[in-house]
Amino acid sequence: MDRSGSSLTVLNRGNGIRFLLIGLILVLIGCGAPPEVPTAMEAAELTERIPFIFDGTIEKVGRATERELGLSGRVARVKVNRVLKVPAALGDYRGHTITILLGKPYRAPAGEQRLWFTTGLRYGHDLVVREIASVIHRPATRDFRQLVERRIEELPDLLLKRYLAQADLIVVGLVTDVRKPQRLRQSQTPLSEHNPQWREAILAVESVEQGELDRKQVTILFPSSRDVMWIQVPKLRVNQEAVWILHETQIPEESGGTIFTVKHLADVRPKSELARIRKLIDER
Amino acid sequence: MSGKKKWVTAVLVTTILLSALGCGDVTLQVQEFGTSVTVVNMIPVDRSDEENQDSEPNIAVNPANPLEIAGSAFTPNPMRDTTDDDLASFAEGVVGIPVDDFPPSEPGEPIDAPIYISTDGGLTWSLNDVSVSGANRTTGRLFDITVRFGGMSNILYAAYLRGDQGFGDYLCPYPPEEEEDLVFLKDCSPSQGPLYNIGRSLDIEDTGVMDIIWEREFIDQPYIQVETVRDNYGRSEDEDRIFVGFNDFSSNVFIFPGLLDASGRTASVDHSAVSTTADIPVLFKQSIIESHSTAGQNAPAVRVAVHQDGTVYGIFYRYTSLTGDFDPYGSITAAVIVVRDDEWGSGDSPFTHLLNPADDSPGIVVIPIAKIPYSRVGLPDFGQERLVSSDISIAVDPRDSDIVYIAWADSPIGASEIEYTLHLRRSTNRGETWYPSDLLTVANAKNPALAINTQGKVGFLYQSVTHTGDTLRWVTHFRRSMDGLTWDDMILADVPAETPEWDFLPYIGDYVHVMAVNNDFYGVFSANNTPNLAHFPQGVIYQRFANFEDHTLLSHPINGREVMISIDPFFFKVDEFDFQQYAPIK
Repeated sequence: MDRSGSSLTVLNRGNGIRFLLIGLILVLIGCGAPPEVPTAMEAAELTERIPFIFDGTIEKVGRATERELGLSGRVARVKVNRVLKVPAALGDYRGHTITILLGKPYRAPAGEQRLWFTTGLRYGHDLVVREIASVIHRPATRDFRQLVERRIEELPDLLLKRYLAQADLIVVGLVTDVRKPQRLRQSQTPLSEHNPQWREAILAVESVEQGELDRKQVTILFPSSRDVMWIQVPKLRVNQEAVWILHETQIPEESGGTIFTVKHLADVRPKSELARIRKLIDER
Repeated sequence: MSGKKKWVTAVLVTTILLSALGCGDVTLQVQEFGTSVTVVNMIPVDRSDEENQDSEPNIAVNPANPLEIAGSAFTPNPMRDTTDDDLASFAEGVVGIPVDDFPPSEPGEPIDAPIYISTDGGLTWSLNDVSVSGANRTTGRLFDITVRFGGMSNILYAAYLRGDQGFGDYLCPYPPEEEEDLVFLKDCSPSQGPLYNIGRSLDIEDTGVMDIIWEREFIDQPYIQVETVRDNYGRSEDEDRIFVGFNDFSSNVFIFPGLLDASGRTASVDHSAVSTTADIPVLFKQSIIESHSTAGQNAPAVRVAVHQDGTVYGIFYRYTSLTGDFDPYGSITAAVIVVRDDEWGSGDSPFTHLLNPADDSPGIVVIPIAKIPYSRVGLPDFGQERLVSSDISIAVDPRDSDIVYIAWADSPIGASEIEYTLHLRRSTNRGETWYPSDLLTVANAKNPALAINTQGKVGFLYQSVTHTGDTLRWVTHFRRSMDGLTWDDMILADVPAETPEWDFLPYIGDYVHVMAVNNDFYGVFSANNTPNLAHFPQGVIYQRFANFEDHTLLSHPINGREVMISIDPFFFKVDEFDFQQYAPIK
């Protein structure tokens, strides 16, 4: 049981001022006040920003062991029962017991179930994460937990909708040519392994989903470099058909004034997603 | 995995561990009396399911406590890496996705990138005890990261290019009024561009993000070296002398014509004396160590070697001509230059103590004409690796700062194809003159790294491409010599070069690192991680789950999935017996 008697435990060391404020508010709630649950706004904030959210059962709480050398404070050994949100690169921890560096030194009995909001801390003999917040499984917190689950289910559409809103132009089209930039000359110096190696792709536009375009063809500038610095940017190829989320970038007036770019792998969406994208655009 | 396989794997791993620990009768393969070698795959147990291209590694051993070692590579933050699977999940609206920073809608709080830490001399490793701020928001990676401990201060430093700059920084032609010279690298003004940081951690066991003590914009390939000055010549506290070699694009004539140095002198060193105890602002002084005009710039790699007596050597390529469009291929003619400072770089004209007798200008021309092939793309005949003129190294003898070794790469003059060759030379008079021919010449090799131990033994680490039948292999060599003339050749790894297929470049890295602490050598390299003892002639320790019988990696030993072969960082240590310590008393 939480020493403060609250259903909620939240960080004392977080990932920034936003979490800190939420944490302070919730820690205050937890200090002597009757058990309360976070608000919907806080649930939204936590679910959106915290990378690893899971249901887990406490097996033991105590001081950090020698293996966890360097961790100051109390840690919990927690079995991961159900994962609600996790980076794919982190892997599948269902059924595994991991270590959580607790946000504050509370006591909790073995067997207690909590909904944990955590960030990565150490990857060694086993996984060590840092508690940003946790919510005890109690009737009083059921609505909050359901809110979190619902929010996580809605998150993909929410984030994509937000991302689409930032785009200058969204079109469906086919890449007909990829070439060195024609309107803009490119110097190869200074020589650096990180040079972007700009290319332009000529896109035959099938439909305009967002923004304005008075022609049936658009040029997209993209870095063709395979250097580690540019791997997160799509490499366009001839005959590639997609929904293109494009961003306008200023260039010299003599060269046209603006040009469209792709910045991220998320800017190239499979055409099978068109209905979803149209729906999200319409919902705004 | 069958019961038999598990048993075999367990015995194998236990044997190797016992060997490395020196327990029982088993000892790891001994090269010669007084030497033992330990090779360790640095991926921690908990990351057994990772399939990243963990290339371009670097390590720092704490001279004050060699059990403490830090390492770096292109290893992403596991909480931030967005994979293709993530994208598919995102598209399908599946619960359990990595929604953090995807899509990258807005800049937010800095993202950390992990550093490898070992506190048992390199036998086991963890990620992220200390982390570095400024990783790319999508990939969770930093670029060009090197790490180094202070000589005796226990402080860990890192120099790196941040990965979290906006895309627009790379897309601003300059200058707009001179269309003929439009440059798309980056960016609009000398006040913007790729940002390099120097980070500092006072305690590697204290989990947290490094303090940023310095930053500079628009540079390439920072490479750090640190030495501690005890008592600071009678003053009250020790100081860490930090030297970071880098290529300064902010002074490049091609980017900012007429604004700054039009001679293309870009080889630079940032240096500073940093208190090891007081928390006071750190200021670095930039020294441009190139004294001559170039063909627009120096090469990205600028390396420094520091001696306890205050001697600091620097080595770099002076580009004298550029041929081709470098998109993706080109050819460079360059000179190999060595500079020296005798007073920690503290004088009015740092790095000018070694004069070229031809014109009394700072910097000895060791090699006046070197032909350097350039390829931005991975070369199938060169183990999928690119060539970006980063293969250069320097080391000074800790017993005598007059003795200095250098290594560089070029292609033979007149060669019709890309023939990349390493050269090793020595000076015994503070760089004034150089042994006229190579002490070692190695064909089809890259990633030279040099270190000299307290016995004066030279260690030379490099990676070569060899043909075995119809297949290519990356072979990692560590060679040692007491006199520079007779060399042994220890194969640390001999692995397939055509698998796995590259994900990005560099494939195994534009550089590696080796250093000496007292008598022992410590190094790091990246290679194909297939668990096969035949690939590691000195033996190897894997922390991640691996089956050496059927050469597979596993996400978990019980019912785990098979993990794809990838590129991993490998730590190695060569223990050298100090014979002088037991020499008969005369």
